[in-house]
Amino acid sequence: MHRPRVIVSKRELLEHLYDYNWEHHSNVIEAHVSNLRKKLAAAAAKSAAAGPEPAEIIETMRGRGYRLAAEAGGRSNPRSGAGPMKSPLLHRSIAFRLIVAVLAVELLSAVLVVFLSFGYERHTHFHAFDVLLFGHADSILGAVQDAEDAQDNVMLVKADLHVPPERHLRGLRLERPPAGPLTELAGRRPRPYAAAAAQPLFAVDVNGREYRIVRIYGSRVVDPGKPGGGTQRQVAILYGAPTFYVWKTIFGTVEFYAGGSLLLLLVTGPLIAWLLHRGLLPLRQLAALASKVSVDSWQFSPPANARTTPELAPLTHAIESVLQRLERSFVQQRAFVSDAAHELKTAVAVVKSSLQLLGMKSRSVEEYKAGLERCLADSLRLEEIVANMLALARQESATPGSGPEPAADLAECLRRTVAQLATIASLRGVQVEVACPASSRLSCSHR
Amino acid sequence: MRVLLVEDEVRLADNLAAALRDGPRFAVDWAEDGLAGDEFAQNRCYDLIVLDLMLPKLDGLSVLKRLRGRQDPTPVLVLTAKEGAESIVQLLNAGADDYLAKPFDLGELIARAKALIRRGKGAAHPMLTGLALEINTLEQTVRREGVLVISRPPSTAFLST
Repeated sequence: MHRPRVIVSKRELLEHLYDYNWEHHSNVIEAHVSNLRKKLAAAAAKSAAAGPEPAEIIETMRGRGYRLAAEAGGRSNPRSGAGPMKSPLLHRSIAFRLIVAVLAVELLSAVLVVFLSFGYERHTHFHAFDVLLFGHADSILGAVQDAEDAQDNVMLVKADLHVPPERHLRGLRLERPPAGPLTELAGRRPRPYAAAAAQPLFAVDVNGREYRIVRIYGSRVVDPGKPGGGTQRQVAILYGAPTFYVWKTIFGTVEFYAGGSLLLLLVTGPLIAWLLHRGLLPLRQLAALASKVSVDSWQFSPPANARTTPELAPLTHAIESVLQRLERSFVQQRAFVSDAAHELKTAVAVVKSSLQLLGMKSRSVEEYKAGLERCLADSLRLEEIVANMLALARQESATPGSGPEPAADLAECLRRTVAQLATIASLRGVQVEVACPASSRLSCSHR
Repeated sequence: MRVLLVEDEVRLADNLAAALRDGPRFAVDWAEDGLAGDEFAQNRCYDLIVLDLMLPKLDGLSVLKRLRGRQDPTPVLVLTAKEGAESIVQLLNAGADDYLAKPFDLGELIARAKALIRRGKGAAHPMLTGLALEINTLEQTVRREGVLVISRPPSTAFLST
């Protein structure tokens, strides 16, 4: 199906099938369409495939012509068998396809922006959060002071703490480290990845809320002025804070990006659609002008922007060139037909007038015989004219180079010319000789 | 009546001349091309010019325009192979009085020729009077003192000026 949903006029069909001079009042097209519909109906009855009613494949557009119905749901051409499914976009206009493509790319870009912003914000905010955690842990380490007791213990001096809210301190304990690595805070459920003591950061769930914990190690020397340098105490600080607020900030930011992208999509979508529609205007104008060209009207005046637009200029030039050639061909064909008609009509007029002249009055047998001989001669001449015209038409329709090119024997031609001039030459005492290779053939090109 | 026939096709010209001579008994002059036809029309008076369109040397339309350009009112019957309304309008506007499309009927040609000559009112053939004779070259009659003596003689070509 080459031109689905395109209305083809009866005249166009006639001209395509026969000749542009075909009798337009003929009902041959109606008869063929009727036969085609019958055959399609028979073929559809044999086929099990579901589809439109056979009679609807060729639609009659009253007063305008016929139209092939569009294939429903991207069904493949019945002739080509089970072909690939065609996208419904293929039947849409270029503008529509471009708009859909641009909007799809925009939507994809918006989704990517959201994902990228999520990753970036998560990385940035958690990095800042970790720095904060380490800073607070350092502050806590700084608040560990000499307990001023006999065992040279250390203690946390809360007055020296400079960490805000109480909620950050809820999970804080200061413990004496055992001989081995530091144990985790009692009652906590450390995550598997955070269980290793070597991990400075890990997450735990506390009452269903996620905390991010930082672990730092330090040492305090009690009474460094004593002999032996005092007593050194190892201190491990575990400091954690809930990540809820960080996530809230991250999702807030991502929501902003997502909303912004959607808003941009809503604003730029119609704008791009309008710009594309406007940008394709020269193409639509060109197509509209080209669609108006017919056998009766060769008028084609492309708009100035169709000539200046780099993408359209070659197409415009090609259409103009083809139309000019076609018009020239039609003019030549019409001239040929007109000349042929004139020649034939004159010859027919000769025959007709000869016969009428014979019947204008009573004549003798000899006069009738002479008149009939003249009529016969006129008829032969008419036949010769028809043969000449057919030969001319065949020669004009022949593709240059498709047939054997006529050739002439130059040597033979020269010999004949010399033979004809031999008498005159001998009278004037001139001797003419031909010096030419035996096979000197001249070919005649159509060009 | 004298008719100028301008036709390049010899056989057709022969037939037409014979028909015009044998039927209405017109005197016929034949010109084979446009230039000769124009020259004939300039040098002689005719009651009718039968003019083909496609002629060598000078086409029929140009002959017609030259004729009318000289204010020559001789009726012109054009023989044409073209039947389109446009070409007919062009012909009539150029000064043709009537036309016949090829292939035509000889009887129709003769009838149209007569009609055109009637409408021309014998402009090219004045009434000759003298010696009590009145010779009407248009009606091809001879009267003496008002009495019809000869009507449609076998040939009046010799009376033509």
